[in-house]
Formats: sequence, C-alpha cells, structure tokens
Amino acid sequence: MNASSSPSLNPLKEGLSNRPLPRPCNVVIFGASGDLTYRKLIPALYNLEADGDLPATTHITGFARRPKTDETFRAELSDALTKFSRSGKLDDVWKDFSARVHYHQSEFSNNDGYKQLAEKLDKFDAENGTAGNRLFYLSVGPSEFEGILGKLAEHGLNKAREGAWARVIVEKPFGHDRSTAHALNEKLGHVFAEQDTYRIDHYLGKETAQNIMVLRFANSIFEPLWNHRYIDHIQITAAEPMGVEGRGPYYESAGALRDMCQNHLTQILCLIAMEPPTDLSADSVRDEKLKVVRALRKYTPEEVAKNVVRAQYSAGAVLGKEVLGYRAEDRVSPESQTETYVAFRAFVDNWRWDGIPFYVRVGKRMPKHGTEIAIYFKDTPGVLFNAQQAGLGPNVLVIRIQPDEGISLRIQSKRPGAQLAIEPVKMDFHYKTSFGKPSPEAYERLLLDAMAGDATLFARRDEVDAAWTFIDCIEDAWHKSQTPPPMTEYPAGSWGPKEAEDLLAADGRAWRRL
Amino acid sequence: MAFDSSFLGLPVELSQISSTLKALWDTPEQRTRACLLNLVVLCQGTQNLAANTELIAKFVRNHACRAILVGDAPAEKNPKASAWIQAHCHMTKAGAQEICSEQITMLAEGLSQTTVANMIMANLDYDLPLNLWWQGELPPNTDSPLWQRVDRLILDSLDWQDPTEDLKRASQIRERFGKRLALADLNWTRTLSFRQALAISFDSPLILNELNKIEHLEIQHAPNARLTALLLAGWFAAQLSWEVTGKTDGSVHFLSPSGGEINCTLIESPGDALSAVTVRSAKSSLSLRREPGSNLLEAREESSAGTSFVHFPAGCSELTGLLSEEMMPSTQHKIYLKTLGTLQALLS
Repeated sequence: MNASSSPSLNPLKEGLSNRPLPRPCNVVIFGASGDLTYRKLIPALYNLEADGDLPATTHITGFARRPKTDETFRAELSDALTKFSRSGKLDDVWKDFSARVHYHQSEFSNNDGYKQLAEKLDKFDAENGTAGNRLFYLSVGPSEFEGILGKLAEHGLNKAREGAWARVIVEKPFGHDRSTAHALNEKLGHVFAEQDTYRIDHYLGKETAQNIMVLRFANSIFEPLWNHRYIDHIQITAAEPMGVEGRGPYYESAGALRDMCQNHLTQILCLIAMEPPTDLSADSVRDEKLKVVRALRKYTPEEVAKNVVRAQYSAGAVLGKEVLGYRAEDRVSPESQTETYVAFRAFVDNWRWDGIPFYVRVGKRMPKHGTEIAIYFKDTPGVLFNAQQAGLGPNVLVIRIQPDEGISLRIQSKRPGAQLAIEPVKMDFHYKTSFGKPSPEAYERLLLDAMAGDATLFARRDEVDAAWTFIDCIEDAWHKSQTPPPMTEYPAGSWGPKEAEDLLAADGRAWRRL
Repeated sequence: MAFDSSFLGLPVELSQISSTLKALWDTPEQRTRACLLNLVVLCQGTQNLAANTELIAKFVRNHACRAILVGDAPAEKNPKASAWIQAHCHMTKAGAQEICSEQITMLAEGLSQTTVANMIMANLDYDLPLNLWWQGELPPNTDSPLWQRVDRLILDSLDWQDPTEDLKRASQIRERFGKRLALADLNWTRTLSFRQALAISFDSPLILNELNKIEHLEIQHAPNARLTALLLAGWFAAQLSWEVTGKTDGSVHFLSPSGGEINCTLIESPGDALSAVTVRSAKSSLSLRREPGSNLLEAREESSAGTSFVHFPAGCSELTGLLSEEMMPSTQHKIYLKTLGTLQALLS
C-alpha cells in the first residue's frame, strides 16, 4: 500500500503530522561493499537512529558479492561511522543499531541469493513486526540495474503484501541520454510502479535546497520581486577543488554536464524558477518543476556555440598542491573530449522569466568548494545615491547550498561618519549557528522520506525525461555536429576558462566571486 | 538555611543583565550565541530552580533560546529581587564552534505580579516568540501585562490538583486571548506516541472500516495519570464525534453518530502515564502496549485475516523531551482544543 488514507477517512490522523510518517521496514542495500554505503547510507541511518527518527525495529541488510560475515561488516561500518558520521558514534546507540544490521553475500545474478534474501526478510518481518515493508536501495552501477530488478521480480520481492509496501531507490546516473534514460525507466517501470520508484538526488535533501521553497513561499517579501521585472539575472555555481579522484572511467563517459547539470543543477534551477504549487503534495511540487524544465529554451547547435562553454582543466595548483591536468589523470584518454567544466546561459521561456538569463557553471579543480545560487536584482534608478556614487552594486540574494549552508542578502548602507559614503553590507543567516544544532545530512532526510512514502524530494520520470531533452541538445551539438564548438582549457585552481568570463561579459555582467 | 545559588551562574544586578550578557558574547572565544525563542519558566520559590536549570541545559541543545527562569515567592515579607546569568554551550561536532543559549534566573521575593512581569519583559529577547511555562496550578487572573505578550502557554495538566477548576481557568485564558495564545499541555504530548500509533494502525485497509464500529476502549494508566487517560479517551471521542452518555468511577460511556454504544474502561496500572490501550469492535481488536522501560510500543492487530504485530516508537516521557516535542510546529493545537471540549464533559 502506498497512499495512506486522508484524515477525512481516518479522522485519527488529523493534526498529527504535516507529512507521512515513516514506517518500520527492512532496508536492503545492493552494492553494500561500495563507498556510498560506508560514507553516506549507514551514517545516515545511524544518525536517524541516534536522533530517534529511524522507525523502530527497522533492519538493514547489505547485499554484495564479497564474502563477509555480519560481524566483519559491522566492524567495517563501525570504523566508517567514526570517520563519516556527523554526530560521531555513541556506543549505546551503535550497540542497538548494529544488532539490526546484516550482511547477505551473493552475486547479483544468483537465484539462491534472492531466495535466501526473501526468507531472511520474511523472518525479520515475523520477529520484528516490520509488516512486510521493504525498501531496496540500488547503490550499484546502472549496468547492474536490469539484472537486480529482474531477480527482485522473479522472486516476488517487488510485490508487497496487502497493507505493506515495496519501494526502490535508484542512484544517479539516470541514463546517459534521453533514450537510455527512457530504457532504464522502462525497466524500472516493469518491476516497480512509478509511485514506488524513488530517484535520489542528494542535492534535494540538503536543508538549503528544501529551504528555497520556504524562502519563496513562506515569506511575503520575496515573491512579489521574484520575476523579470525586478530580477536582473541569476547565477548558479557548483565548484569543487577535487579532480576525478580515481573515477576516470566513469567521468570519461559522463562529463560535467551529465554528471551535475542534468540532475542537481536542473533541480536547483527548477526550485528557483517554479510557480507556487497548489499544495505541498509530491506531485503538485513536481508538476511545477516539470513545467520549468519544459520551458527551458532548447538550443540549436549554433546557439550552443554562443551560449555554452565547455572546458578541461590543465595542470595547475589547487589548495597549495600541484595537480595534473585532466588528460594526464589515471585512466583518462590523453585525447579526451570530456568536459570537466561547463558554463551556460539558459532561459526559462515563460511569463515570469521572460528574457532573464540563468547563468550556470560547474567545474572540477576550482579554487574552492561551494555551491550557491545568487539572485541579482535590478539596479535602483540612476538618481539620488545611484547618481552621486558610481558603482553602487545591485542587491544580491545568495542561497548557499554547501558548505556553510545559509542565506545572505547584500544591501547598500551608509558608512558611519559625516560624509555620505555608501558601501555594500551583508545580512547573513547561517544554518549551522542559527538553530543551535547541526543540520541532518541529505541522505538522512531522503531515506526517511522514502520510508514514509513521500516522493517530493525525488525526481519523477517525466522530470528526468525533460531534463535529458535539454541536455541532449548541448551534447548533440558537441558530439554530433559537423562543426562542434571548441573544448577550451583552464588551469587547475582557476575559476574556469576566459570564454566563460566572456559569456557574461558579452551581457555586461561578471561571475560572482566566491 | 541560606539558599545555595552556585548552580545559577554569575550573580548580577537586575539593571545590569543586558550589558553583562552582551559583554559575555563580546569575548573572542570560539563560541556564538543562538536564539530562536524566549522560554520563560515560572516556578514557585527556590526549590525547583535546580531541576529547571538542568532541564533548560538539556532543552537548549535542540532549541536555541533565551531562557528566563523565575522563582516566584510572593509570600516573602521583605521584597527583594535577585538575578543570575549563565550560558549553556555545546558543540555540534568535534572542533566546531560552540553554540550557546543564555539563561537568566530571577528570584522574586515578596513582589507583586506586575513587578515580576516587568522584570521578565525587560529581559525578553526582542522580536522572538514568548513561550511561558507556568508550572503548577494556573493563576486565577491574567491581568499582568506579561500575558499580553505570551504566544504559547505551556502547562502540564498531570500536575493539576483540581482538574475541573484548572480546566475552567485554561478555558478562560483561551477565551480571553483567543487564537493569539496557543495552549500547550505537556500531558497531551504524553499521549502523542499512542495517538500516532493508533492513527497509523487504523490506516490499514484491513481495519479502517472498523473505526466507526468500535465497541470497547480500554486504557491502562499510572495511578496519578487518570487525566492523561481521559485526554486520550477525549481525543477518540472528539475525532470520532462520540457523545458522552454516562460515567462511573472506572468507565465512561459514549454514543457514536451511528448510534453504537462504546464502553471505555480506565484501569490503573503502575508504570508510565499510559501503558496500554485496547480498541475492540465485533470483528477486530487492536492492542498497543508499552513494556516498562521499553522505547517501543507493540501494536497487535487481530481480525478475521489473522494476527499481526508491528512496533512503533514509544516517544519520550521525560519532561525535556515533552517540552521539546511541544516546541515543534504542528497543528496539534486545534485537536487539543477539540479534545478539551470533550474533557470538560468527562470531568463534569
């Protein structure tokens, strides 16, 4: 069962919670030996337990190929928690939690492995009252999806008993282009209904990303200004100092555009540009986001050359260390045409955003780590203060996604003293200090939502499809056109190629300094 | 015997509270002040100051605030006001900046209600909601100017000695200040985990239809927690539109909108405020039980389809947890007020 009843059918639910409650369940992680399990998934589940949010008696089973006992698996996870848990590791909590963590060794194609898994889950249900609820997390490469989904179906693990549910969480990449994404979604759709399919995008689980809708629709002062009449342009930046970090083969097949823009940055752009939804249900929110993706202007190859810049990092220095250029990285082709940086000018062709550019840039080997959205408001009229003092900057609202999550607003202020001098000042809100407690990790919120059956922060099939339509225009211009735009270069440790600066300079604007 | 105030921090003159706090945060140490609300805790005399300070220290880890703890001793003959300040700091992770909340403690001896209210109001953090935790029985009058500023009145009906009178006073406060003031009863929060588990259990299509056919309700409660049990029974009645038709010492009788009779039995049992609830219809039964010391509620459902069970979190029963839960924004206020209407009928 997915949809829970409304308070009109079940009056006992009235007023209890503004969101569905997570149900006790069995979580099965496919690819449990992978990095994601140790760095993110188990720390997230542990922290939910420590905060009292993990539904009682939830059991976690790691499914992977390597031979390992429960004890070995737990010992490895214990070490990982010490390093990666935001709240450290408390012995009491770990003792209770780890007793509910298990390891299941099997090849992904082995029928016996799934048969034994089904028996194990049935046993946990009988012992712990998890009621047959199952959450499968596919933390594996896309090449494994089909095999695992097929086996889950073959052994009936995708079918929930009456009153229970079976759901699947899928990690990105959701395909390589529109057609492969379509094929992947078809496979998923044969095994799990769309309402039971959770395409995870961890950016959406971040507090600041969730706060975008709150900022816009729970405050009365922003929304009247949130349109082409008052906003000059918007910049979205995702910068990281890291290179490909041993993931050369994956990155070679993806590139910055597919790796970051098709999912994370498009989702962020949607939250900024969307219309208010009619209500806060998952589909109402996702319907509005979908309208934005569909309104993104699709470029011809000629327009791609004018509006999109791609580049690779060359040798340089990042955070005081000399680093190799991209083509010299391990398992990267010396003639690679994969971009590690992309900057583009996008337009959302609808009433609200008519003519307003959204400048998006993402890159590896940047000077520092930071993801943010900067909303530049239009200048004040050129009279009074704006006439007296040249260069009064615009008001800028900055939403910092990571690190140091928060919001700042740049306003002009009179400098103290007898002279009338005006300087910009920042009003700053920091998540980490304002609430006096740490924000949960993105995976904590997302796992809990999947257990609750709340898909608001997960990508729907049609959203993924529409995002690929936009991305494919650019990829096609780069890789299928007779005259592809050039691949440019930027030294590692810089803010990107000169061509990206020129992209904004042509409009009389400049990238924000982070 | 002299009052040992060492646990209250730094003694300060009342007029110096603000400047001393400011100086505290101007030091270049790796710490920062966080504040999202004002929490005023009003208790009688000095005997509860230590326990309340301990509670505030735990509470601020999840709810950064300015806490103002007031020990009110109006019967003292020599009028006197004393004050102390302290900071409760914690690190959100190793090596991070310390996050601190302030606690101002004031001891008001032989002072009028208005004077105490002025002392409190002079030290509220500006532009933040005011949550007033009134410990003990509610006051008969709410004329002091402090009440005009209160956004949320926290009370604990478990402590009510005369529930009928206190409920009357709570209703008067509600009538006087209307929607501007929210009533937050910690005793209502004690029923939360049971209400949540019941609501989820009845979401099952196997027993949802039985909701309108309930014939018997049995609630086990601690000897001092009859009012907690009545709140839960009142919630059922309010949400399912049952009317009170009669009551005896250990039971209450309701009538459902379809004319069905419901017998509600209240059974005293040592342990937590609420330890078990059973709901029966002709075709099914649902039992929720919390074993002593357990952090789980076991829900057992019996119907023609067989028996099944599931676990739910039992929630928190200690005061800090209850207070913390009350501070979460939600729409419970409306349901609580509906329940109070039924509670009035159950007590009269």
